[in-house]
Amino acid sequence: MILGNRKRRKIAENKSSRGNKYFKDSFEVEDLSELKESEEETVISVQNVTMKFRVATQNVSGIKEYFIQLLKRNITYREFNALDDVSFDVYKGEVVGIIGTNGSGKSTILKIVSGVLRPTDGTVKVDRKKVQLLTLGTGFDMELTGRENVYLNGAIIGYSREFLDAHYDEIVAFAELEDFMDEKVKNYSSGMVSRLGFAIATAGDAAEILILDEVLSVGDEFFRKKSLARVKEMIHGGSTVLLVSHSMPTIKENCSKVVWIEKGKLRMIGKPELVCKAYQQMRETPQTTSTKASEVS
Amino acid sequence: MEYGLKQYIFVIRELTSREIKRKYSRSVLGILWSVLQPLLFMFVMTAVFSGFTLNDISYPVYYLTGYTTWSMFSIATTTAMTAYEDNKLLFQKTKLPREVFVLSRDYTSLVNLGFSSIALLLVLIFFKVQIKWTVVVFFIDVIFELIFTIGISFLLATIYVFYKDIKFIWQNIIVMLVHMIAIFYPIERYPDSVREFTAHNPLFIYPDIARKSIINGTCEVDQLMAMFMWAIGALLIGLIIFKLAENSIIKKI
Repeated sequence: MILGNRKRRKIAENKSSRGNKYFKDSFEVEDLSELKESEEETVISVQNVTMKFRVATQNVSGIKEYFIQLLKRNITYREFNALDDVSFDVYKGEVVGIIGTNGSGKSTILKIVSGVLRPTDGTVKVDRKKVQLLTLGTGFDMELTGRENVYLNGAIIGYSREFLDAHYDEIVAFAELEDFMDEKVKNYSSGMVSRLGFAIATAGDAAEILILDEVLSVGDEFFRKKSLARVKEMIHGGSTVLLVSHSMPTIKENCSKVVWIEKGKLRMIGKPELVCKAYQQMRETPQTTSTKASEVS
Repeated sequence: MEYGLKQYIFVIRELTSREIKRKYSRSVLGILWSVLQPLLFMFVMTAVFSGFTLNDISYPVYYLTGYTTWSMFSIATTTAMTAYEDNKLLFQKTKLPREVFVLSRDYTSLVNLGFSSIALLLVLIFFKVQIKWTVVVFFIDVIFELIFTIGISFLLATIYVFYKDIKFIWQNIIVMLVHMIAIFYPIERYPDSVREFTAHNPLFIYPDIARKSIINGTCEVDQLMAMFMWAIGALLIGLIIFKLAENSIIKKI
């Protein structure tokens, strides 16, 4: 069975190498076909990943200013570690939740895994052709109508025109926006925008590796249930899922493993109950965080 | 998700149609402005400069041919410059090949040229200009001008990410250029000192080939060579610089 899988992957890779001409990954993607044959196949392997951003202490935004500051010897940079030596493995079929307070590097790790960012140090082994990053409404244009946005957003996500033509009604029905598709999106409520975004993003067949960035807290209660069911369907379809969410119940309910990243450092990996408990405890102790107790749910 | 060539073109077309819809979303006449604007300019310019043309060519035809080809370059480069900055979100959150943002702005400008050409066609018919086979050269000329424009666009877009001043510098260069490339009156009227320089300016060459092929029905091999060289050279330089800076652009944005 494993052999069959590898064969299929080989074919997929051959196919994609042609397409790759037009989408040059700016960094090397390590091939997963070399992988050791084990019961639990590693799908994503993050090894000692460090991401440094150089932040200029003075914000110089022009040539003139740059030279002035340079003459004054004022150009200094502050290194900022968004991620500091983070390692973890994700096995096939796992649903891994990533938690952490705001600005602790969750989105950065997602971007690195999906290939948008390149890490300063360390390696990420993942077959990027299989990765699908779901974010809501990226590329929505408020001046365009709902219909036009379905095509624009769909194109950006990677659907073909034929696919969008065939699934258009389905998308609209799922978003429950039948009467609003010729309306400009700027007249939508924020819930409607996210519903449409969710419907487009999940219209296709689930990729083998799904990365969900805060997509489960969308719309009203009813839509949330519906979207959760859709995501669960995708998970049961055999996808490996990496998901970021601020909602602890979502994490506890859906994940088989939780990774907790705090201020760029890996704090804990393990069973959802354990990690979530530790995370909540940290938030409740006043000396480590300034979060008010009332904000903790 | 991966992007094959077909998908790549589909994305560019979708982005382009967004640009056009956005640009005219609040106006009544919409895309018709792309036809009207060059015509309106033509009336003004004819009133002011018509005495400057050489006798055998009617000024509106001279002006409009040069102006439409020139404005493809000027519009494309000024809009493409901010392409990465304007699409920040897409840049950060999707795996789209980064080139599409610049290319879609350039393509938008080409579509715009298509509409302006309607105005040009009307004027050509009105003045009963005899069109010869050399009109084919005009289309080739536009293709190479587009390639040249793409190269310059990549260059400007890359610089813009790091130094926003380029926007203002470029605005001035555009104004200077438009007066240096014989759009308003023929190169024969230029002082000798400027003429030599202008003749070798690629931005004079592209409109000039267009004028010669449409109005005079002639084309010069030397100019066609220059057209080709400038386009390929600019494209290579633009792409190389963009590729070298790509990672820094992603980080900076």
